[in-house]
Amino acid sequence: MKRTRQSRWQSTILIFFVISFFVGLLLPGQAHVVREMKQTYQNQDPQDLIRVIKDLQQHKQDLLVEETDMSQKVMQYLRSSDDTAAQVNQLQHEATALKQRTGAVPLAGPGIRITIREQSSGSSPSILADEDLLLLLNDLWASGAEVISLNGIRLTDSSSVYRAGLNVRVGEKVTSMPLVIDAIGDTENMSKGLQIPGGVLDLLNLRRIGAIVQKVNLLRISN
Amino acid sequence: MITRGRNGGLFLTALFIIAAGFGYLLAVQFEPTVNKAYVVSAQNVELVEIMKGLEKENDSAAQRIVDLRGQLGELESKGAATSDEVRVLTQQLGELRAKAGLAEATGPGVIVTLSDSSRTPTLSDDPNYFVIHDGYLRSVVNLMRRYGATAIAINDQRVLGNTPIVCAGPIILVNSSRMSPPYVITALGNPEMLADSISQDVFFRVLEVYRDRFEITCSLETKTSVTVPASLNNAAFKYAAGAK
Repeated sequence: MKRTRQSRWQSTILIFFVISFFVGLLLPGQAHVVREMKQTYQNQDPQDLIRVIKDLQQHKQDLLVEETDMSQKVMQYLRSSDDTAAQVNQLQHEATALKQRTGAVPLAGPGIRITIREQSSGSSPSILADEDLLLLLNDLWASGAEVISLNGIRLTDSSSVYRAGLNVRVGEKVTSMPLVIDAIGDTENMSKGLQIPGGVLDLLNLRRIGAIVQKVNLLRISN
Repeated sequence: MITRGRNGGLFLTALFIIAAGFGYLLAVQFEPTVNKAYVVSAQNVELVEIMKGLEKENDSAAQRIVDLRGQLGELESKGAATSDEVRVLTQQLGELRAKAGLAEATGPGVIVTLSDSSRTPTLSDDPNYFVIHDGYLRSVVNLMRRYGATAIAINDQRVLGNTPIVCAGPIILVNSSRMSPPYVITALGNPEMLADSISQDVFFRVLEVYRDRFEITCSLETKTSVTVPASLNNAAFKYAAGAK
């Protein structure tokens, strides 16, 4: 009797051990499956997917502009194969656009002006970090800026932007705070893009860095 | 004997309660996650289809642009042979296109590779340290420019001054293209100078600390020849015009 009860007891313990072992074994697998499910695109937040789709739609429009432009240039070139003057005209026209793009000529257009002031003195200074500035510029490009200048220094493809002490370096040039950022482009979109809740301006304000956005009818950015 | 029987009964009751409680907690823990994943999956199927469809259309458009640019290049070469003026202008245009990032570029340079950690964060870890964020890519690109890079690409996308690098949740977009890790950031320029300067920069050193501690991938290598693709953007501005 005693031996039977002891044996039953041992069996119970053994079963419990086996069950616990399998539960322990299956748990990481279950967690892994759930994690994998979350990582596939179909399990992303729908808001993120909508953002990607909007971005792709905009990109589609941009590619269409370039494709149409290229088609027209090919057609014009084919039509003007014997007409040197027409070819020269076409080449000069494209060169003008490229000079504007590469920063060789001054530009003007509608845009926004953002004035950023930090509190670099006092007991708890609030300093604009490199990452803040890069994020702000990135958000401007993403929301339709075509040309940007920082305190009058135009950004080009090779411009790096970073803090050097209390100054700001823009490529080879040095400027100081407050920072006036001029951006020519889609005024409405840029303004909205910066001021979305939780966006870069909220981030700056939370860190007590003042940022004032003004719409300007005609900004001029020199080369 | 009676004592053991009572103890055994109490033990089994306690075991039952613990097991039931554990099962309940497990169900509470996993059910919403699994259900949410399942429901979101059903919601998102259409969005993913739209996204993939647009990507396919954009890829086709990109290929057509490459073909048209090639065709235009051939026509310009033929035209250049007919007149000195056209030849000089065509040459200038080639240089301007290269400067504007509208032409593929090849030369010596460096490659920085970043990728998410292969290690699963534990409950006590902050998972943010285990993934590569869009801000890291922006900072590395900025470093490359600072130390003299003349042309930059992330994976197969050319990065110009006005190229936004954005994130939509865990998805990083460059030129509206979804980037998947590893993020290979290629820069043309003096390889030794770029590598020395980047490796000594504070930001890159922080990434190396993350690599050692959280097992993200962060590497920097010099190359005798790297190629960055051309930008497919149109050069003309819509809002900005030449100022007098």
